[in-house]
Amino acid sequence: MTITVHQVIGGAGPFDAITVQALRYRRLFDQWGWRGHDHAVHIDPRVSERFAPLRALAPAPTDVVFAQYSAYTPGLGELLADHPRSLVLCQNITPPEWFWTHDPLTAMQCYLGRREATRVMGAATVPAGASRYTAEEFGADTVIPILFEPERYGAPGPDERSDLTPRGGEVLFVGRLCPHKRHDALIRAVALLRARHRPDARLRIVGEPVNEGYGAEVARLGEQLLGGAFAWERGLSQEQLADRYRSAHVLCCMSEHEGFCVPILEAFHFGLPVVGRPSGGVAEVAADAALLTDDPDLGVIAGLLDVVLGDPELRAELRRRGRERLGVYDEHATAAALRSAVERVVELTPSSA
Amino acid sequence: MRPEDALAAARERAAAHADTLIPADGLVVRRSAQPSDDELLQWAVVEPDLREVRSTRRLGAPVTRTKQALLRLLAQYHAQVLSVQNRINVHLALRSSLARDEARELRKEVDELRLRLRAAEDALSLTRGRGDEQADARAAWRLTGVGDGPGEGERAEVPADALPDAVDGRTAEQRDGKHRR
Repeated sequence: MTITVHQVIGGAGPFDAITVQALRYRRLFDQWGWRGHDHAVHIDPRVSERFAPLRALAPAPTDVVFAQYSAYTPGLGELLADHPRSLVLCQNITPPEWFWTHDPLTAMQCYLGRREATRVMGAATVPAGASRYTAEEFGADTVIPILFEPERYGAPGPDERSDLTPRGGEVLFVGRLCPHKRHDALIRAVALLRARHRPDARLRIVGEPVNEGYGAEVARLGEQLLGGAFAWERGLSQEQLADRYRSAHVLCCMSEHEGFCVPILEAFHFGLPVVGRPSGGVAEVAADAALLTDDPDLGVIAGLLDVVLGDPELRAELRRRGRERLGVYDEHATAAALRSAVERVVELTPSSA
Repeated sequence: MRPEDALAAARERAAAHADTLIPADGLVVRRSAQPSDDELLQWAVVEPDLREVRSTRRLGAPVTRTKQALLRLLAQYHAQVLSVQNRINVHLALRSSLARDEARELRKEVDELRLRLRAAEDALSLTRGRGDEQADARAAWRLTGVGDGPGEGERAEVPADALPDAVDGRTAEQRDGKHRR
């Protein structure tokens, strides 16, 4: 069956995760012999050949509009209200309460995005979420996970890092420096790890800040509590990021709101044990392959880091379970889920075909 | 060790080292349902710090000096632009604050009327719907602090003891001197 699928995203940019995913989806559609074009509201000139403006989209009634909703997208609600065939895949939108103090503009975007999400999801023929957590939060019953392609990261490297010492260990976290990711709690947990168990432990965080002011605050705290054992890097290439995973000993995610959390799958790919909070999509993605606790005592997180850094058998078991989880998020399974959701849109709207 | 046993081991280690703490100052992220009036007024006044205009590149000192010199040259123009922007910002923030005060007073008045209506309905033995009961309970809570708490979006700040973790390695219970599970 040949289907015409037009993709819609809010903003298209060369390094944006949603854009990259939309381009991969288009590759899949091409492989399946499906037609259609990709559209965005805001388009970076560097990808302007791949995306057309949303206002130029005039779908035929039999076409499927496939929107990835990750932020307030002006015009999308009206488009879906008038179009009979649509699939909306909602990536999670962070609650604005995390941003009012540190980045009011982002808070406003999150506020509008979450408010509009209800309308957009309600107008979709098939609403879907990137995780069960997100799907349920926005009233959907279909899950289309993130398309995770391990080959993009290269070889995982050796299972056991030879440089792990009884007094040390490198803790890694990858993700934007945003308040809900709780870099402040992560820095304090590693400071406790150093003060209580491993004086030579280090922390490396990788990511762009939500704004320069917030980034500077996080960096100040890191330097204050960890000194030279703290490193913040940004703007890394895919190869450099892979190297950071290969040289780390544990990934620690203290985030309090995650729709999916790709770094967990990346850690599993590189054989890294994962410690953190079971917030939102984290618990769903990691399942029993990570050491998660919502204990408010950061000393317990420090204790978990110490336990995992000191026990090779525990690390081996977590690695084995992590690789099993990668099987669940296999790219072929995600592609099948996407195809099934689009076909369901067509099945549910036969009269307009 | 099995992963299922790791948490218990971590708790034991945390308890054994509970006396070893870290400095509590520095950034602590707090959730806030909406900015307070004070924050709004603080943000309304645009006051860029000239010291923040700098180059972070190696040997960036001449670039920093050039940027700051250019800003000094244009200081009069920028002050004019900022004063226009600040005027509207401050007025909007002030109006928002006054509107909030007015809404609070109106709500108080409505709540008092609701309680008087309830007393009258009780005296007449009239049956009340579930929605009315809930609204009465919320009104009573707002007026007296007793009964059901506020609805979604009515509370501006998350209380400090709801913070998920302590800043120095102690839990909220440890800070309070209480031992709750």
